Amino acid sequence: MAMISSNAPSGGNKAQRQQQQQQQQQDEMESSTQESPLNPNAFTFDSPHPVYAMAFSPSPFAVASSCSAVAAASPRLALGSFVEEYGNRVDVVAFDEDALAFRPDPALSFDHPYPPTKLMFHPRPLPPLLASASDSLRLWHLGPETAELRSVLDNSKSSGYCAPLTSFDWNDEEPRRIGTSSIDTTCTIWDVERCAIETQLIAHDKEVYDIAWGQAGVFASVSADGSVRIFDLRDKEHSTIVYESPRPDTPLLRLAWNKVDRCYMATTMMDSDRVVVLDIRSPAAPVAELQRHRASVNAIAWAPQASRHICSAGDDGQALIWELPAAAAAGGSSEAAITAAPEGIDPLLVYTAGAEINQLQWSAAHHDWVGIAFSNKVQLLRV
Amino acid sequence: MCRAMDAGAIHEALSPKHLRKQLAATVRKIQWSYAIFWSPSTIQPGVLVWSDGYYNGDIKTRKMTQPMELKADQMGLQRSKQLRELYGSLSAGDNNQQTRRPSASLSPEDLTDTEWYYLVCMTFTFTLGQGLPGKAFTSNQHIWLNNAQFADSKIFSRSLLAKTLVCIPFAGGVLELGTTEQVLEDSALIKQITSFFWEMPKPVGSEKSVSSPQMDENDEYILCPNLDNDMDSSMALEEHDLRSDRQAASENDPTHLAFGLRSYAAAAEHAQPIQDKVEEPETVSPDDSSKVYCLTRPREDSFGTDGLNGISRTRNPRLGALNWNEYLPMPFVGAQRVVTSAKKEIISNQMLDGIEEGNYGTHNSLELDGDGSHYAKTIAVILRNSKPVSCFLTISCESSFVVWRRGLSTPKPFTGTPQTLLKKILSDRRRWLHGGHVEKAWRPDGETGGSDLLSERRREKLNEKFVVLRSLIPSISKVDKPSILDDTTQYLKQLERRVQELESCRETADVSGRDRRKQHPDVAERTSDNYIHKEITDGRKASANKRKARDMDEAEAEAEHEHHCVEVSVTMKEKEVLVKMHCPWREYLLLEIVESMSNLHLDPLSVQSSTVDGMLAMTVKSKLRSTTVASPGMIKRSLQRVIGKCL
Repeated sequence: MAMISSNAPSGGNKAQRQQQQQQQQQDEMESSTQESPLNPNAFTFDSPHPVYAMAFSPSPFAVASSCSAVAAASPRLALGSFVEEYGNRVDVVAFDEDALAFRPDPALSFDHPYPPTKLMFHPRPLPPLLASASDSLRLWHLGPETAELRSVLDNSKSSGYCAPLTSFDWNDEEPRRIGTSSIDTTCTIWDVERCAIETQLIAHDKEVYDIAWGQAGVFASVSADGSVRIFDLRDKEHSTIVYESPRPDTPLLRLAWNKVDRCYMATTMMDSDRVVVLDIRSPAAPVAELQRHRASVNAIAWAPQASRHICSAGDDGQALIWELPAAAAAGGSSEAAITAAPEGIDPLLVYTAGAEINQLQWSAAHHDWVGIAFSNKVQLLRV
Repeated sequence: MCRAMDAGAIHEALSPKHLRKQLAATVRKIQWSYAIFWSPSTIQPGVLVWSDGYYNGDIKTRKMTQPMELKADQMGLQRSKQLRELYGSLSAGDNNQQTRRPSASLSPEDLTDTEWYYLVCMTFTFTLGQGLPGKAFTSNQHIWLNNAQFADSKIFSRSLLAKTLVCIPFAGGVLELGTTEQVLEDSALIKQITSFFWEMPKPVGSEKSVSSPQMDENDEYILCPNLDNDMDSSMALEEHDLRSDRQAASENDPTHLAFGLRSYAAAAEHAQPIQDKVEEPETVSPDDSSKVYCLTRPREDSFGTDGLNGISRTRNPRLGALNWNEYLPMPFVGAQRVVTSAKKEIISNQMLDGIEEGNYGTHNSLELDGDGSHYAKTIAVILRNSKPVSCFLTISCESSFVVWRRGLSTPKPFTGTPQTLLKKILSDRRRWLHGGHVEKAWRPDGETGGSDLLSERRREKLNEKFVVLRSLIPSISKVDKPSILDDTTQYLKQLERRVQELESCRETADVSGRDRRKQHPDVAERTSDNYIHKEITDGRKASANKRKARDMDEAEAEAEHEHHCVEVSVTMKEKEVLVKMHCPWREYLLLEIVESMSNLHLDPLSVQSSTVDGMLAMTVKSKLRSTTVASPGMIKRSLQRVIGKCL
């Protein structure tokens, strides 16, 4: 692990490489990686804390280049602990795809006030920034040697009290923008470069639970009031309700906007085993409701590379990968046919973790890896 | 090749020329869905094979190869022939793909459920005594099966779609008729069928005379003449058949006769007969398909996966093969087990590293698995024949995921609180963010710290109650808990003394004053249900009236104890509190009243007050800031205390 912080040049020196490899092997021994006895292709990282927030790095940092070419291609994870008090941790862990082992990076791990509700890397590899949300939005610079707090984006002007943030999303088309959602019914759009509020909208009647960007200036949010609303920053006066939960005031908890086909988004409800897939062009009814989970759904993620695949995970300890019927390609008529399918859609693939899965992320940089978190374990699953 | 097969089928028939038309006439007459004639195979003794059939059920798409309008009966004949051809093309493999393709004018996606069933029937063979036709053949008695879709697979191995089945042994074979309707056993009908079948003379013409009066089938009278009229065109078809008949005769390849066997063998040998069909839609698909495909890792075992995708009802117009899948599962709506077993079959095949010819051979001859595996094999054959449509989710051996299927063993059912952590992350944040601060504030007092949630919650409650207590005690200066308790004790003692004092005074108090005071609690504790704005404005009037009354009182009882003139009423509705006061004025009284209200977490919204003859009349409308703190009685007592200070 020392090598991560070392500045050994990645030259063509063979001896050096061998040395590095040896060191890597050592690291494997040290790291807490263990392969699941049931599934040799799921790789488990045991965290000292329960884990909720998780983020894949868009691609390795500059620092990784100091290690080896292997590290340069490896997925990296930021993991936020969930301890119900002030002191929490964010750990940075690299996964070596060749050695199939996790390598924690203690140098880049840092203390975090309260459990982060979400972690997210800057959409571009550079600058190496990590954003976290808890009581306020924080930006951390993960330098080669250490992680340091770059800025605290806090909109509490007068009182020391700041409404906790439930989630945020970094706009990948316009990386200056981060949108946060808060229990105070507002969404705040930050200009990260200026560290200033671009706009703040009272988005919902109740707590806003999740937010997701669709375009550079368009975002959607879900709330305890049971609605999915789309906002366009060019017209802040209005929002469009694209979905309302069937039972009034059933809170919608999570929201995921399909990054490949922007017509689709998916949301989950409180205490519901369903994933509701919406087509923003036909807001009246969901395109599909995926209900093969045996318990409530906790997390959803669209495939970063394909338009019609989505992964969901829930309390039943299962991660399901679904393929949606190609409604988009065929146009309106077939859509009706799809929703009419009485027995619903079956998932393609399933992974059983054996405990309630709380978090799910699909690596955008490494499409074949899905990360899940349950209790104090993080697993990487190969798709 | 398919020609050869057609020929092979007809070759078996007793009267190949007319068999199909006889079947047609019979099945149309009783308006059932299909008729199949099973006859002993000439190649494999003791095995019943498909001889010929006529399909009379629903038709989804008609492919008009000829522009001319075909009459119903002839369309039926043609349809049956097309189905046969389709079966041939699907099972034949790609030996002569180019030449064969155009001849099959139907494609799988044109078929209805019943047609699928009919098509699948073509793959069946029965040993004597096995299956419904086999039993009927050996026992030489007809078998009538109702609710065939629920039948045990040992009795009726194709329990898929047809609800009523009849197998009638005659003419050295077995005539099977089926319908999707529920029809009760009717020996008269069987007799009628057989007699009709026999009596039907060459070609078809005289059918009119035979039609039985007990059957209520008006359509027959329309249909049958048509049959006559269209003989010309159907003759053309027959000639066609005959020609292929000759071709078949010249071929002695045994695989051409046992259909099932041949089809599996063919499937294992020849891949991708319908490749061109798959590719058509693919090229049409504009944008994102390429993204998907570039990530694929084509694998040998992707066949199985594709089949599976299909059966799990993924309809994907872009992926041509999946088009069929829309129809594949449909016949099984009532028979889920078939689908499941079909899936199992495919999976096991996949695990066995591909589908082996030998496997199919043995499976086929044994037929032990009943129709599930048979059907699965058929499906597998058909799907396997399709191009391995590369889904990006091809299951590699390295994948952590396994193929989902219904009834997959799941871990113990989830019983805990759903979404525990997620809810904590989202909803409980306010509490524990606050909780963290409170905890820190109180820790110096010797409270046990720690992260235990329950104790934290209890501590919070306790703290809240201390705040309430503090607000009730006027003399408190310090905020820590021991001081609050000390002061409370002091204050209680003080109150006790005062109570004694007052009780001694009460002896001398006048009656009217007591009465008035008795009324107060009623007013004070009242929680108005329909407290609205109007009442507030009225309230001013009311207090004005009261003031007048008080003035009079006062005039009469000027010499009396001053505190008898104090009047406080508190009305509370939800979080709105209306306080009306009437009391002697003194310096700082207003300020103190507002202060004490503020201590009780009351936030004054509006205050109206006037002072006449040294008496203060005041109406305060305020809002309660916290939910648990103050009751009307508590507010009243607190205010009385403030007023009482001046005494």
